[in-house]
Amino acid sequence: MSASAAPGIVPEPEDSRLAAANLVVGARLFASAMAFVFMAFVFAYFYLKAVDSNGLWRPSHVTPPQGYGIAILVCILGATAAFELARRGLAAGAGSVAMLALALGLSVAAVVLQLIAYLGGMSFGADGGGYASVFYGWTAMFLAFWLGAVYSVETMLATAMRSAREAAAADEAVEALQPSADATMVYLYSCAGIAVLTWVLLYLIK
Amino acid sequence: MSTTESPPPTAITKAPRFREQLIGFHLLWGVVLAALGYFVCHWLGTKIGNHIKGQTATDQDDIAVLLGFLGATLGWLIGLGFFNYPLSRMMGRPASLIEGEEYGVWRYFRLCTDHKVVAVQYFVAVLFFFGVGGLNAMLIRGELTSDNATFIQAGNYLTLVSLHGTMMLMMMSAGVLGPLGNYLVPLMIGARRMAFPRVESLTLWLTVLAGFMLISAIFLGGFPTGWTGYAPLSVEARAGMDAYLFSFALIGISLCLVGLNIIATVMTMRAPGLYWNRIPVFVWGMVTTSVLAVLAAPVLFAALYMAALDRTVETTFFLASNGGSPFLWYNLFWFFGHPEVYILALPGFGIVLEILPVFARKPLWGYRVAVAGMFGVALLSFMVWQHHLFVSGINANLRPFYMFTTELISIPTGIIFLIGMGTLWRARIRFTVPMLFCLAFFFNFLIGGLSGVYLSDVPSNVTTHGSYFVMAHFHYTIMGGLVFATIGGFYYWLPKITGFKLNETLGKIHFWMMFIFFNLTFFPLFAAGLLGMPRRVSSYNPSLHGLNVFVSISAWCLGLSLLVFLANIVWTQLLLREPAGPNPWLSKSLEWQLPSPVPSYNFERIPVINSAPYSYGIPDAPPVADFGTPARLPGGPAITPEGGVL
Amino acid sequence: MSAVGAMTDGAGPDVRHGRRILIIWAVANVIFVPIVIWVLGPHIPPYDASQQSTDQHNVNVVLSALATPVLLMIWVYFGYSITVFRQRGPEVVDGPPIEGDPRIQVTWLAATTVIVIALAVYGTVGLLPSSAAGAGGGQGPNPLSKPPNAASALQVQVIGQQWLWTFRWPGYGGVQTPYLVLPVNRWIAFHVTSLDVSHSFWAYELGVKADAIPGNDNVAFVRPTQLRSFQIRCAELCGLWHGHMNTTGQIVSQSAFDTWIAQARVRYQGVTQQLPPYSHVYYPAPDQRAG
Repeated sequence: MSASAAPGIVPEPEDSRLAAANLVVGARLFASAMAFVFMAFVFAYFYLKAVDSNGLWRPSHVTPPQGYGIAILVCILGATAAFELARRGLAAGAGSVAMLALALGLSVAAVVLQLIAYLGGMSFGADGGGYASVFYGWTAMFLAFWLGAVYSVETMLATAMRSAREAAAADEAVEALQPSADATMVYLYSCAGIAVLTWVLLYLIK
Repeated sequence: MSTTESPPPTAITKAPRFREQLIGFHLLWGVVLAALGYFVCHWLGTKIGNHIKGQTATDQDDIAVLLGFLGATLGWLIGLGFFNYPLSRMMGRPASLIEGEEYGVWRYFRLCTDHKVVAVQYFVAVLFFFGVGGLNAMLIRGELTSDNATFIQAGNYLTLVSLHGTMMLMMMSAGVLGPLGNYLVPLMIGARRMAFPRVESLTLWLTVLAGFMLISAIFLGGFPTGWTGYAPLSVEARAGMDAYLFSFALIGISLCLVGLNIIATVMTMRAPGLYWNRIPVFVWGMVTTSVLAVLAAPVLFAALYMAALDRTVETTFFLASNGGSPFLWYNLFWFFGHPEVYILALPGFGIVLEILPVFARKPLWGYRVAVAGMFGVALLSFMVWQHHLFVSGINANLRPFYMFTTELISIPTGIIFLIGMGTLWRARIRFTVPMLFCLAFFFNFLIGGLSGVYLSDVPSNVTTHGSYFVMAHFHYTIMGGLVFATIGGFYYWLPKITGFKLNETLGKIHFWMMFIFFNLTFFPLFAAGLLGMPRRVSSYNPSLHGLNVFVSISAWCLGLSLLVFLANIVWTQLLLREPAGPNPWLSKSLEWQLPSPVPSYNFERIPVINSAPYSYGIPDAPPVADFGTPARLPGGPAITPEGGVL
Repeated sequence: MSAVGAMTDGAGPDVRHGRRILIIWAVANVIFVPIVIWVLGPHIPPYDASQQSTDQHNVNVVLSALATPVLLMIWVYFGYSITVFRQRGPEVVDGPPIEGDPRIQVTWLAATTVIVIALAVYGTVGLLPSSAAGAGGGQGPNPLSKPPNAASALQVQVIGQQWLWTFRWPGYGGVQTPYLVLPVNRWIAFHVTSLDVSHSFWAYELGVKADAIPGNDNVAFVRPTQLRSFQIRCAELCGLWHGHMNTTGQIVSQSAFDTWIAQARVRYQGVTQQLPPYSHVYYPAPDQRAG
């Protein structure tokens, strides 16, 4: 129950670097939390595989859709790389709209591919044993986290387009983007790492 | 709410009138859209359920109920205005950190980024849900006055037990981090806000929604699993289970974000001069708790999500007959569950060690060791989870290891006792109400800790596991420890938060009633456990009847003592409203150097910290902070873009 | 407010207070430790119906005897402090600014470490040897702590289901009984499993507790030493009638047991033929719902 600002007192303004530092720290902490979510799935994967309860860890007909798996991974890695290029362009003071648009396109493509795979590309259902459970649970959870990445990239693109339009100077436009760019990069790299892990465990290893 | 000495705040006069307030983003629309979202998504879920399962779905269909909860959450957040900012960011508008602070008293009913407003909202919410959980406990003790299920039926009894456990666990995890952490951390480190003010408000409103969702389990047939939600019982249970899964998952998200926010705040927003060895020990308690919250809550979230999939789309994570394993749930749940136990202990350590020096009038004895002890507890708590599974048949070969790690935790907790004892040595103790609660914390936590030694010892655990001994043990540590410390903390800091005194006499009546009846309630339950009474039963061996009646009567008196607390709050804070003054306890801590209540900007200038706030009795000690000098002195520590490690 | 309360600095008062606290603590120990061991001790469950419950009883007495001095030390210290170091009257006086003493801290850490290691060793010793055989706790399908000649132990399968216990005897033609009767002075190997949700088989006086988990064969060893009855309960929440999942078992002589099992084989012959073949785990269809 705090009193509101009394007239006559003008609190000294905040250091503008603070928000930027916060975002990067927050992104790292969020990435570590996300890592623990997927650690739970990694544990489930190896635990159920080791137990092989009732011999139903992975019946022979349960095979993942390899084509979709590779395509999704490529989209995610491509989006991450495009975003990294956009960020470097930003740091060098160049325009970044094209690269950001590419990153957004690839990240949306990953979501669309995953949805198509669910709806038509699967040879097994969620009730197909331990592996099938982990596969569906893991990929759907990753999809949810990846939507966060899509949101971040879209926000960056929108901000870049707007500031390119409205900002008086290029410096101003860069300043509006830089802190979010660093934080988004941390998140995208974490997602990409988990995407590689997903592909290795769920698609590559038999 | 303004004090008499400060001029009338301008923001309140600008606040829209009631009629204008009706249209906008606030609690009313949150409730309306949540209800709408529930029914729309429930209807949708019924359709999907019909499609997937090829059978007639009823209103007990899990897909419909869970989708309904998802819709309710979205509606709730839209109504409260949480989507406005992300949408404006998606349209490329600039970032901002302030929202909803200009609405006068209405800001308590909406998304507001002032950390002090959020803390008060948390305080009210936690107190309300704590009351709900407490009422459940009173009813449970009512049933247990009879050795057979007579007063409440067996199914309702299980729902009560489950609601009580889950509600208390959910609310006490948020119980210190939410109200006291959000209020005090920025004030104690000399900041004006938390690192992520919108996230802070989000965690609160998610907690509120989760509490009501959990209560809604009653209308969905209840749930029979207790707070541990053991699969495969949870997979078979009726739709009330979905309320447990969804609300607990919301709390998991909320807890994780609270922790993230507090860590980021402490890392980047410390005032100049507040080096790591000057941070108040309460803030260290919040930081260590936050580390546990950020890393453990995600595992809970994943486990609950797996259980929800088992119940809806027929995956078999936890069903042994189809390639799953119940042990998977035990491992994931307790990997969260044991750090959770220390999420319920570390804030208590922080509060007690913060308050003790003020009323002992002595410096904290061994600041560094105390901080090391808290980190030791936090670290070890990730390595002990299988001690909940000593007789489950999982990894029996690792039992000596988990026995050892569990007993190791008594070293860092022993440190907390040592610090307390050192601080009391030749002190000038004043027995104020907060101090009484702190001393009771040591009394209760000692019994809780020593009973933990029996439980950690495998041969002894064979008898005590799953019995009332366990139940008494964790009530001694959580209620006797955390709740006593938290109430002490509320007595101590409420005058700062509201600006009004609490009544000391009523406080002492509350304390003695609560202390005596707490011990009379829970100490006999150690005996009940050793004499063979399992947990969570509505019927028990008739030879234990007398013991249980005694415990029930004590428990009701314990409940009455909390009514005294409530009466004290209502009477002094709402009716009497006697100004407390800026520093009634003569504390040296930073927050007490500010006016009560704290102005919305906290500090006119960011202060420069001179020392840790425990310099009692040191002649010529400088004031804890210098409020007049400009912030960011040229030679002072600066915030680096990389994250501000000094 | 801040008159420095250093009335008599130096070693004098510290030593005096410390000596007083030690004396009170020592006297309290002399009084209470024997009371805990010899007066309270014999009443600490779970008594002596089997070798395992006797062990657990002894462990509980030893732990209580160890916990008492710790409890008394903290209580005496706090009691002394709040009595002697209290500030009377309304005035607020600062105490002496004593900083943390590393020597005391290190001593404290060393002492607690020694206690903890001793406890861990004691707990492990109470668990692993063949005479303890896992102290009556469930050890999963491949137990580490086994009694001598574990193969010749009497095998009893304990099957939990909502909300009753049944017992199957693989050494006696796989007959299944609703009662548990055990011979005295013989090693028993319980194989605990479940047909639906998780239960926990708690034979209270025997000092046996082993979770019954679907898909798992949880082995627990016990050696009954008295002719008496014992209570069986469920110690893991298993749904609606969890509190009613009780039955009573009986420890009898070897000859009485032989007679009983022979009669049971005859009486349940028809049922035995209908049962699925004996197995360490069973996987019934998981499609039924229960409260």
